[in-house]
Amino acid sequence: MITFRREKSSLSFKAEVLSNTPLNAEHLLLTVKPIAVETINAVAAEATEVKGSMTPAKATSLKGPVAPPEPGQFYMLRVGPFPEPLLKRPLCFFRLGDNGSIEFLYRIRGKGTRLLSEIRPGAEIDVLGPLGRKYPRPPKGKTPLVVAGGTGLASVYPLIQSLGGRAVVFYGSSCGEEILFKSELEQMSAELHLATDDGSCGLKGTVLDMLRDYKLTADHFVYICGPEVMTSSVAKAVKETGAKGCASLEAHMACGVGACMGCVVMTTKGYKRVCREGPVFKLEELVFA
Amino acid sequence: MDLSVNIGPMKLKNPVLTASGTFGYGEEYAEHYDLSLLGGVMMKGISARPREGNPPPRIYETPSGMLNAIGLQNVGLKKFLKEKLPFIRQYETACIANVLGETPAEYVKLARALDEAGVDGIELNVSCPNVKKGGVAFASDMKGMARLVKKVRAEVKHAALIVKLSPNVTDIRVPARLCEEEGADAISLINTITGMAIDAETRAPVLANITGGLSGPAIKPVALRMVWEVYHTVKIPIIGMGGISNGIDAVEFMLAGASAVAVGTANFVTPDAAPRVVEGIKEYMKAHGINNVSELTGALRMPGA
Ligand SMILES: Cc1cc2nc3c(=O)[nH]c(=O)nc-3n(C[C@H](O)[C@H](O)[C@H](O)COP(=O)(O)OP(=O)(O)OC[C@H]3O[C@@H](n4cnc5c(N)ncnc54)[C@H](O)[C@@H]3O)c2cc1C
Ligand SMILES: Cc1cc2nc3c(=O)[nH]c(=O)nc-3n(C[C@H](O)[C@H](O)[C@H](O)COP(=O)(O)O)c2cc1C
Ligand code: FES
Repeated sequence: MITFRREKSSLSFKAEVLSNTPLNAEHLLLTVKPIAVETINAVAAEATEVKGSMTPAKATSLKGPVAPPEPGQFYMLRVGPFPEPLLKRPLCFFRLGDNGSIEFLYRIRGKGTRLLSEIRPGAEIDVLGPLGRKYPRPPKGKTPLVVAGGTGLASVYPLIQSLGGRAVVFYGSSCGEEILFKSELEQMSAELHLATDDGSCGLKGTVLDMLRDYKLTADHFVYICGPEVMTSSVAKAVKETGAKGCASLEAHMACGVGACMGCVVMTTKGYKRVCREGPVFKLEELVFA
Repeated sequence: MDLSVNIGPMKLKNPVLTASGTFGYGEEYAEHYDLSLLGGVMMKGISARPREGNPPPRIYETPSGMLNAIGLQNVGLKKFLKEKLPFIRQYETACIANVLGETPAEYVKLARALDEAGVDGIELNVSCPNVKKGGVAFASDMKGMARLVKKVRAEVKHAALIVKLSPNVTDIRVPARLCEEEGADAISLINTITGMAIDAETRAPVLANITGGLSGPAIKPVALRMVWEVYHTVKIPIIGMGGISNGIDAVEFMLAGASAVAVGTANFVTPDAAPRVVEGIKEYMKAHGINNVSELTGALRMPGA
């Protein structure tokens, strides 16, 4: 097993797929266990604090164990053999599992995530991360209010977990089938407000409808993750109340580490990289079309 | 085993560089490995003033490749000299600045400043498909390009002057010959191949810029052919690139005629792709009893020869 360590840790590792379980028609829960830190680095070769079995790769040296993820960060996962598909896919850190495993909650969206859904337990995949900025802690005296839409739950779930029962949670999806981890969320949240488009679970409507009826004030600190339309409409509503907060954004990514400038979004300070300055941005920084 | 190569006045400890625009200014990948493992770093293209770049979406994955239309978002000359150059100087690796001017005068100004600042190489980007001024204009205006190389040549006293060629021409040998005639120390090729992606559902182009540059394994055969053609046209060294992902790819480019190679899109696939290419070249040399890496350059066996 690889222990999580902050210093001298490697961002590149091989992981064994422990499970890849369908949760409903479109969503799966992937659990991977880091098995080998693999990077060429003669300089950092001394930094190995790895317990248990390791499979050192040829012509590479070990650079220390895997870094611990924080809520809001993400990983890049290789979903098929090189060169198809060429690029890794970004997935949020969902939560830690047993024995130092890492879990991801994902939705099948296109070719890459479909390939990922076909990976069987026992397979090895290349992983890069954790990457990007984490969610900030709520400022003193503010109540954390979390807004999640659809698969956006993946990003805020570990945040809700880390807030130790303080979070007021608004979570919306298309239908009851798509409301995931309901009992866990009920346990972890101070309040859980659910909405579905068809009304099959919670309120019939959107998270924005629920928020309009809620006494959102400047005493809240808001966290948003969901589809772009939801994020922008909720962000606007939040700004009107004078509350502060942040949102996690998505962009097409190539490198995931800040080198290609491919994943930018417009902010009040010009284009910023989602993979580096984000994916979590302050609401006041964001410029919506 | 001798891995060192010379590109004009520039000495490289090994023939593996990272391609401009795929490696930032080295800062991000320095978190993944020691940059001193590289022969050199070709820095993100810089312009006289900072550039915002194109609106998103800027990238799109294609079969075994990707399209990009970054539009040269960069920090500009001033910040490059103040922050980026000192950073890369901490490592024992060559620094090659990639420059893009909007006018010939701007190229000259950039090249002079960078030469004085002591970069090891200056790569003239006369081939960026994603900016309107400077880039493509020169790629298709051969006389203009020749005049530009001549002007810059007169200013560059210490660094290796490299001209980066666009593959988006009918005959790559024509600009290559002109570069040699005007005194370039080396030629690098290829830049990305202009391409496009369309979303049939929305009937809209995928990239905000409409067109973009294709890179990655998909373009390797085109790049190899062009390196081979240029090798048989000019005597100055060639820095080959286009889809190089491992040591064997790099060896193929050297056999076609490259003296050095650059790893681009592969950095996105595996952060330490470039040092792995160095290792791969070494393995090949060992397996084939080659002592000096430059023995590979142009060592292609032609049928019947
Ligand atoms: C920081 C971040 C965290 C994410 N976390 C999760 C998560 O926890 N769970 C989850 O289900 N999804 C998440 N996503 C979205 C997920 O990355 C995309 O759904 C996935 O990349 C789509 O790949 P595909 O091959 O299935 O789709 P295709 O459309 O076939 O992908 C083609 C290309 O576009 C890119 N791409 C397409 N859509 C997106 C998108 N919305 N965002 C980023 N890249 C995209 C792909 O990476 C690929 O390069 C996250 C995205 C980002 C940026
Ligand atoms: C995201 C991206 C940005 C690039 N930016 C530049 C640039 O600023 N200047 C330049 O000369 N070439 C630029 N290029 C081209 C590469 O340096 C290289 O010539 C090309 O990608 C082919 O190599 P590859 O297939 O290994 O990536 C860029 C390529 C990519 C993918
Ligand atoms: S994905 Fe390359 S800079 Fe963000």
